[in-house]
Amino acid sequence: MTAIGTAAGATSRGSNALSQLWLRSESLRGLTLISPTLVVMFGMMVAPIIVTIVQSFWTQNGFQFDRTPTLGSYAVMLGQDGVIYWRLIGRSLWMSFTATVAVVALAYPMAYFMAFRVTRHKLLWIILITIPFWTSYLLRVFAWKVILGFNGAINSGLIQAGLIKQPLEFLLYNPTAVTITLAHAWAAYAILPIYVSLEKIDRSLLEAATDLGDGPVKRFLRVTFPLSLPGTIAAILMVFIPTVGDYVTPSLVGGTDGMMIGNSIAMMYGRANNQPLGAVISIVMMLVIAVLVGLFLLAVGRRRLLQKA
Amino acid sequence: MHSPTISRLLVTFAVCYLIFLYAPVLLLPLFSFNDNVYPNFPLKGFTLKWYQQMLRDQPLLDALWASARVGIAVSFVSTVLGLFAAKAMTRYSFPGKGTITSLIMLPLVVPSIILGIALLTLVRQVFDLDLSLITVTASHVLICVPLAMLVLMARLEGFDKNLEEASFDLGEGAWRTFWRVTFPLILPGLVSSFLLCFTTSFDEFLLAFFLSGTQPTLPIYIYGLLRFPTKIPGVLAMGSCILMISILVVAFSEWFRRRGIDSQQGSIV
Amino acid sequence: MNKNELIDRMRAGTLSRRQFGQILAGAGLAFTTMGVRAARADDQAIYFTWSGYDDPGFFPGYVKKYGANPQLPVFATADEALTKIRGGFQVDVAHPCNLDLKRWREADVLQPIDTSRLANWKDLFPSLTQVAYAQDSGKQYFVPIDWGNTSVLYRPDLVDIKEESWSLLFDDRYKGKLSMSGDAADAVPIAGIVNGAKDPFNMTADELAAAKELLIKQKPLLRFYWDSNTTVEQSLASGEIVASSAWNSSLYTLLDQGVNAKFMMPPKEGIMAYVCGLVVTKDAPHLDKAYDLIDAISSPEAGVWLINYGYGHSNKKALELAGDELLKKRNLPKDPDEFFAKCILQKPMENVDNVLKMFEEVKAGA
Repeated sequence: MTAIGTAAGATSRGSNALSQLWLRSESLRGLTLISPTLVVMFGMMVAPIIVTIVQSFWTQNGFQFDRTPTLGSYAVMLGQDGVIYWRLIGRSLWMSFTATVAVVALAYPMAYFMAFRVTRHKLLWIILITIPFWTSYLLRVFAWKVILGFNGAINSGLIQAGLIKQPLEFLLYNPTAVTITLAHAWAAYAILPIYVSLEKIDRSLLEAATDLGDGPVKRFLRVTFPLSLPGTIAAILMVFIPTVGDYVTPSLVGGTDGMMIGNSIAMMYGRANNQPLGAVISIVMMLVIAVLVGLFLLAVGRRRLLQKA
Repeated sequence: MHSPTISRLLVTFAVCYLIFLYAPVLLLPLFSFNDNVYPNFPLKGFTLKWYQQMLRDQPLLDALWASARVGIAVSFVSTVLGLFAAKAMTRYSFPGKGTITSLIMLPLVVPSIILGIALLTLVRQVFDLDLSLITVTASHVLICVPLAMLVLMARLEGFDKNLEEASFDLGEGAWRTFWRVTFPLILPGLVSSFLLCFTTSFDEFLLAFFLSGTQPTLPIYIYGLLRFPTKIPGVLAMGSCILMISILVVAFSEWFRRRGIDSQQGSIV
Repeated sequence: MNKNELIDRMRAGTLSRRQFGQILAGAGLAFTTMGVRAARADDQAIYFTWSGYDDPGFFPGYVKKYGANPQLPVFATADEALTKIRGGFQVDVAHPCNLDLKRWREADVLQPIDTSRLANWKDLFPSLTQVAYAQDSGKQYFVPIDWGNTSVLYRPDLVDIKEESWSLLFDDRYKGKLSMSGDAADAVPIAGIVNGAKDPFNMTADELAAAKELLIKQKPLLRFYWDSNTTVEQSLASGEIVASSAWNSSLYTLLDQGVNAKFMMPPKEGIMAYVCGLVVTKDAPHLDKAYDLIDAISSPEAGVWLINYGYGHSNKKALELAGDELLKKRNLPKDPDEFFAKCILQKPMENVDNVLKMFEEVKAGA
């Protein structure tokens, strides 16, 4: 016991001298500290993307790869055969857009309620919001199938109440069902960032606005909403970007129009045996998303500039 | 200051929204006790047989254990890496912070399917490794490190740097300072990071789908069953158990948090 | 250092960095070995099969000999299975269908099966053991097991038709109440059959174009494309759909539930048939157990179980053991040779890329 204690003391005295040396070079220490994380992220993020880009210049024959660089797959994407993929990208973007609007539009009032109307047990509300997301995502989608289905909760409930004779068919297997399911699936991810932003707003600003004569609606539009923009934008991006690639939900509840660009990419790496084309589609998808997000942030940024003027 | 009509509208909305959030989730326990293979209404009768079936379904339990192992490993590694990054970001100034932040946040803005196929290509074509739980773990670390970093940065920014400096001045080394001063104060942040990473990994489907080998994780196993729903009630039983356990875990961590050293009032997590 | 000391030290903050690191390393090591140990715990043969076929009734002989089930990973589609195997997934025996054989053979993941080691080989129907791509220069790669039909399953109480024909699936009287397989390997040949193509599995460019048009016309009539037969069964049972393409076993599931259902046997244009069976992968880790497993699955007892399930079995002794009554109940002939002569046997498509692309375009909304 004593021996170990001395050893520990010796280590700390030794590292004390070293610490003094370190203290003189803050940048070096900072970079060293962050280097393990950086190396891991670089290796697992940038390297795969580079490999994918390289692969987009190959050709696949059956199960073999021909590695001579060629623009063949890019030509497909830009030619007649590529139209289907652009169409699917468009469809996926639209699905993601409607889902994002639905999620954020529903999440905002809830976040507002939690930030401004709940005075005690705020943490309890946060927990209440997140508990549903402790179940498997797939099971939640399945649960929506059960709710919206032909003899699901809504239909059998309405029939038993005598309000309808035949089950409603428009509840499931269409884009609306996809939007509802996604609006549910991403709720917590949207509520929390907006809530954090709203919570940080200095209440005295709101009081000042009221004192200066603003009604509640005007005060919201001029003070609250602009200040909550960082969180709202974060929520929008956090929902929109992943949803573009989601093909599981549409395939389960979307009906015959449930095919998304994700299905195509997955097929390229599976049955269709055309990984280079899959790589090209992925690269195009990333670029399209990057451009859209860039335009969005630009538009939002400009509006804020105008508001300040 | 607050208009009463708007208040009433908000309250009604909040209640309806909670119903919207919980309805699908409460269906899971409901049908897990229902004596019917198909989760349809009308309800047939109360039974515990699906829970028994779940306990006897070895592949289901294997998948559950696989997801748990992956989740713990991912949370551990991500929190440690996130901690290094968060500490570096908040306590030191060095060049290229913006670029580095973007790089670390990058996985959050790339759709999982693209990450999945890119990693798959890297693992199989470049390194010619076999797919396994380790490749799944690696892919999950990729998306969890940014989350961990965000949570821990929020935590580290929130407390006084002087505490650490004081500890240095009193003669403690970097390691001891961390262990005796910083660690207890950021413990709630570490716990949140751990929980956040665990949930993300435990429930993650797409990356695991592309990068798993012989042993499926729980979401992959469930996905397989969803298309052949005769074993669904057992899965519903499993989902209900997970829900129950997570409520208990959250309650426990909340109790733990209140007991621990927490110098912030009204903190968010 | 024992646990209590450890906790005391942590509390007192006297744990050194080295000791902490050692603990972390130990924990990490424990995790990795935990995984490795669990993988070695089960030394049974690995049978990679369709979801639902992982029931001991299909291989009673194996359970009897080894006192345990084989390891039973399952898949939902044969493509998924092949991708996994090529990705390094280790299995002994896999269960693809004859229309997958071409792709599986091309992937070079199979080893030839030594039929002299198979107990039931001589009792298997030759028409099944010799399907396309099952054999190659005297070597056998495929042991047929189960065969069945793809046809139209429908509710006679909810539809009004004069004759049994595939065209029911394209009938706009039942808009929104029809369903079709989402798999191009089923859907495209069906469209070809309705259009009267010479070889639905090897259509000319014109025939493909005609099939595409038909499928595009069909899409608004469908409630969904199905990828699991249980979805079809449930929807037909509730009346959500009135007709769908389906396999034989679905008929018996519905009849057992008391639903009034009929399976077109055959539709006017001809009924489709397929045969599925067992293959052995190149680096099968438990080769001896794999042969025992194949014996078990191809045995007459397993055959009777399969027939009860709704499908035909490749062992002629199984058909004899099942008895005429059961065969009649399941609409199975005693001699599959004459049966297959009247069926359109599904086989691998030659121009599979074009077919897949075409169906993708239909689904994407051409």
